[in-house]
Amino acid sequence: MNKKTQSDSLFRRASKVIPTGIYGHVAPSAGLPLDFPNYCFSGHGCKFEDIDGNEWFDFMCGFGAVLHGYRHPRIEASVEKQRQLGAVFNQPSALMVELAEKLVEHIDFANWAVFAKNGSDLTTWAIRVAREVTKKEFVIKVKGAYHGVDAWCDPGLGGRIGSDRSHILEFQWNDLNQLESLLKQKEGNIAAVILTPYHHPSFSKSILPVKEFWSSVENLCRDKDIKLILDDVRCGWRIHDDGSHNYFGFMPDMAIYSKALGNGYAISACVGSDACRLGASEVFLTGSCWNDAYAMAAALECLELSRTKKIASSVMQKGIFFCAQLEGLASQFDIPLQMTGIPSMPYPWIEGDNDLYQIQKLCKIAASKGLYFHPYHNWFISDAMNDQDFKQVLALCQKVFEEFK
Amino acid sequence: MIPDQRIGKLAAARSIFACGSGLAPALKNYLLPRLLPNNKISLGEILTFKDKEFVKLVETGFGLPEIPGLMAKPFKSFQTFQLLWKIGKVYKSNINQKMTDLVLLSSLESICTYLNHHSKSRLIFEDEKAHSISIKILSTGTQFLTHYEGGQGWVVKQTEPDFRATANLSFIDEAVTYSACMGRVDTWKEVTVGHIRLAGLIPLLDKFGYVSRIAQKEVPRPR
Repeated sequence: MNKKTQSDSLFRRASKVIPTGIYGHVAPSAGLPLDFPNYCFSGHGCKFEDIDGNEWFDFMCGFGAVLHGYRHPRIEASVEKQRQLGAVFNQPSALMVELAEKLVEHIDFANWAVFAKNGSDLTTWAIRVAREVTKKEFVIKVKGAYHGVDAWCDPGLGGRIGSDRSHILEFQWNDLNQLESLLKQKEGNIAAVILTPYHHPSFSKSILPVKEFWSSVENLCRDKDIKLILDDVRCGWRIHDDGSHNYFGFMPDMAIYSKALGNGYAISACVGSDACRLGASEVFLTGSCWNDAYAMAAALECLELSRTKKIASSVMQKGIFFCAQLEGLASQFDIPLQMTGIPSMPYPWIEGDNDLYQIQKLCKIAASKGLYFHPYHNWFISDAMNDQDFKQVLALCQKVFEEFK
Repeated sequence: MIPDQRIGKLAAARSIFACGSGLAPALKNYLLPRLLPNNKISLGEILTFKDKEFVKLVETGFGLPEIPGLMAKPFKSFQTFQLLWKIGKVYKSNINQKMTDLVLLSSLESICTYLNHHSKSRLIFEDEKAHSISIKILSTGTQFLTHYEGGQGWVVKQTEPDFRATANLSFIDEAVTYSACMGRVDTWKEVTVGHIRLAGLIPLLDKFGYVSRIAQKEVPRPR
């Protein structure tokens, strides 16, 4: 077991002054509390060090926020340059315009862009834009899909009232009949369908869209004047360098990005077509630090890197290699491990392990070897991971599987 | 349908009943609770309290029952009071295995009352009826199982099931168990430092934890 002295001691201090000590998706209770560190100290490339000095091969990448590796020299240099000038002013910096231009240039359907800090800020805003544009009320989402922390969609249980979700309808991923039935049920009163590029829930395997899924959804939305919103917060720049809709071959009306957009610097963006521009102008949007020029400098450099170095394709190839090796290794030990979803952000699933005991055991053993494998969330492949890293990781995985059996 | 504002009282009564059943199985029906109209609650056929008096009984150890029931069967009344007194003593005794087993059983019974009757809690557990939760005290090996039984709803039993529960909730020792049952711990902290351990289907335990905290806030308990 890894040393956790500092981690636990800091957590005890935290629990006196911070409700739950650490909250949200990084709450220890949402992972492996006895095995994962509570606090990190530093990161470099595809590894991080926790505050007890343990070094980890990272397969979560700040839960997807870090695509190019920790402290990527080009990104850090861009931020450092802006740091000499300042972060937040009375008015935005010129970087905001440059970033919007870059997104509009890269993303085929986009005619405009706006910025905030979190995915949530803009998924919630986008459904309001759809309501403003269509003058309709209902929003359809997939059951179990995560779109943020607001009351219409958060996965928690507290602080909600009945009306929070009275205009939100849900269908099962890939169930087009159910979607059509919802559309019929609220005919003429559906403002938006909001979806992730594929289904990547926590605590369950990822599911790719069936062949006709996206074309059908797109056609249904077009026919019925419903805005199709793509929540590309988690997948953005890991599947395709110009938006995940290109990978699956459809065209949304609006799309939201965050996570990998800033490689760890907090920024989110919503882009949209001209049809949504007026609505976007009418729905109020602001935040005191949302014009933060450091994050915008980081995002500009990330976009440049993604484009010139074809990062999505790079992490996809790395993911394909790693997933195939891992599954192959597991099968040598008769462990029916499947890496589900998209290889650049795979979700580990052990066949028959619906109550998650097996994956918990596997990830606990992996943690003892310095591998940060999350048992309940899709993993993220860092572009900083090289052949030598994979070789070391797979050698450790061999030991993990030996112990697991 | 029981109004939500009375469920805390029913849960406290069910919890007394569970504790009584653990202490004196032969007398368990002496404390079988029933919510009555006009904000009254009965424990078995002898004791009937106004809600307010019942809460006093739980919190302070004394609440004024209605007299006619007591006069009808004096010996049974005596046995019932004796059992109530023993239950009160459980919560005042030093922490030991028997005591924590009873306190945990009572707490779980109270949570099950919420799962069965409280509108928000029922809704939260609506899709979970195929699942079960095993609750253990690691230092003593005591094990309870909470699961759904057709006709009865969510029930708790002290048993080692012959199947693997969907989720496991374990308390490291009796002291942590007692503190958790009395609502005196920060669950998230105890989970992080390993005093409370979770395994299996974690979202089910998240829901169970949420309902247990609703119950802890609302159910009267010994001061």
